[in-house]
Amino acid sequence: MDIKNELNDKGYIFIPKWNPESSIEDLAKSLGHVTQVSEMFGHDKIPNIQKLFPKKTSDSLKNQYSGYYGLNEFPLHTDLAHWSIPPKILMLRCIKGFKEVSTKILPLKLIYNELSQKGIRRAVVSPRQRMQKSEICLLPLLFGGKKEQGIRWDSLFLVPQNEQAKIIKKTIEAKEVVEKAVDYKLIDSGDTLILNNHVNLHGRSSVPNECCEREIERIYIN
Amino acid sequence: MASVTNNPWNSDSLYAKSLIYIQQMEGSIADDWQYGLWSALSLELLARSALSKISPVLLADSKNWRNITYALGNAPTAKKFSPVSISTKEVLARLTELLPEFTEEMAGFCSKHTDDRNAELHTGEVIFGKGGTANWLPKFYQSCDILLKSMGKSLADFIEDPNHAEALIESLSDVAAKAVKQDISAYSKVWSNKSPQEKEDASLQAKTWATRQSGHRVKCPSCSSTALLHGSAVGAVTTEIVEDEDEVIQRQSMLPSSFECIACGLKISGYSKLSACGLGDTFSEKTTYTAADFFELYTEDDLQEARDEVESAHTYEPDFNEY
Repeated sequence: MDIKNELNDKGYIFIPKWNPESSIEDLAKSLGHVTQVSEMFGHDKIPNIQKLFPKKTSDSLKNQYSGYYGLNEFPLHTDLAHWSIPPKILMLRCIKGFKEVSTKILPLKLIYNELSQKGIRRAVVSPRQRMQKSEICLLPLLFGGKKEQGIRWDSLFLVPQNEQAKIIKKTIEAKEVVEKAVDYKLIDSGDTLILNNHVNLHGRSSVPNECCEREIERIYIN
Repeated sequence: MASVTNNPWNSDSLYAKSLIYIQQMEGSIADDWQYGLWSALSLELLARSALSKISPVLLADSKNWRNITYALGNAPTAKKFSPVSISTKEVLARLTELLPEFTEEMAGFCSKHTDDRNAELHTGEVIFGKGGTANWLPKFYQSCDILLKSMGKSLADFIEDPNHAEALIESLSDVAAKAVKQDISAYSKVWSNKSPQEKEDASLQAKTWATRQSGHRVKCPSCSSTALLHGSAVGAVTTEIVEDEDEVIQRQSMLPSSFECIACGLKISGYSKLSACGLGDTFSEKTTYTAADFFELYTEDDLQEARDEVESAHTYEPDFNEY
């Protein structure tokens, strides 16, 4: 199986029980350059490999999805959509999984025509302002250039700044669009989901209380 | 340490703001002053976005090196540092040199539109909304089109009605073609009334003149005499070292900007008109240097001159009548 080719063609790939004994970092390195998140300005407390556990809102920080959505469903989004260029590849690897919890993937090619008709090319957002004096710059939802274009979306961290962005928000949040997402379940140790963060949105199903021990590792690759 | 969020000179940020402003323009009535003002504000940001797409460093004012590190996305390393970018005129000058399709005519229009914006904002004079849009809107869309293309985008990415904008851009070529055709026809008529001897003398004179002047020699579309095409440098310079001849040859592409024929007197200015009459092809300008000139070496003559200068300084005596 050529992971890179499949990732290029399909935009994402699910590999069940992929070398459970290998580290996520070693596997990620075989696919590209691991994003050194901790070396980015203001991100020194965030490790390059993040461990994800379901958390209640009361147990989580407000700058994280759990701090807002808790154990409820996470909406479809681009990881780090507020970055200048969001990380291209995202790898999720199961340490401890539950069949009751799924990861949702929405390939943007399924809705691109609709988004295009509704003006995504002219849609502008800004990162949400968390501190009064923080510097804020506008962002186009469609980013990239001549070689490759990507789409960013996040209903929590991005704020629509024009009519087109408001319409895109409604479109992506519409039930019929959300239902187009496919579910993948990371259950066994080593189950790995790799996706192109520029051409897919992803989310998480709600987490029943008895599944709070779910543990997933995440790493970004560029 | 690199920042992951956009900085204000990032191409995408500038482009996004330009989009917001163009939508403000589209939300105004074309006769209103707001229409012109928003267009000017949007155009300036679009030009900066295009330059930043090549590299955000090109926007940094080089008077302070910290502007360069700021443009690169690094956190400020000095307290009270306030980033300074180059002026819009300098942005346009850099774009003219870096983007071959962004002609001097377009840069001239953008510069004028920006000046109008300044006058609108900083004086009591009514600038926008007084003379209709016919004299600037086609050029505005033409400039936007070229800037957008340089970033891998199109008018459809930027404005609400790209078909209308494209029609206006096409009208510019029609206007240019009509104007230049009239000029050529008028000069041809005058030329045809000259006697064969007058024509021969004028053509010979033009040929001699064109050989002595710098420029690209072409055939005049009006009288077929040898005429000169001048241009502005675009793109990269190629350098060839000819060791046998002790020479360095440099070539650079030139985009035609003006034409002159001294035989019939025809003059054409501006790329759109030149292009409309078949004189729009780029040409290359070749400059040959001696190795000493190119590398700024001292020649034997330079050294002798320096020796003479020193010697004369020692033997110099001021005028003093008799003593």
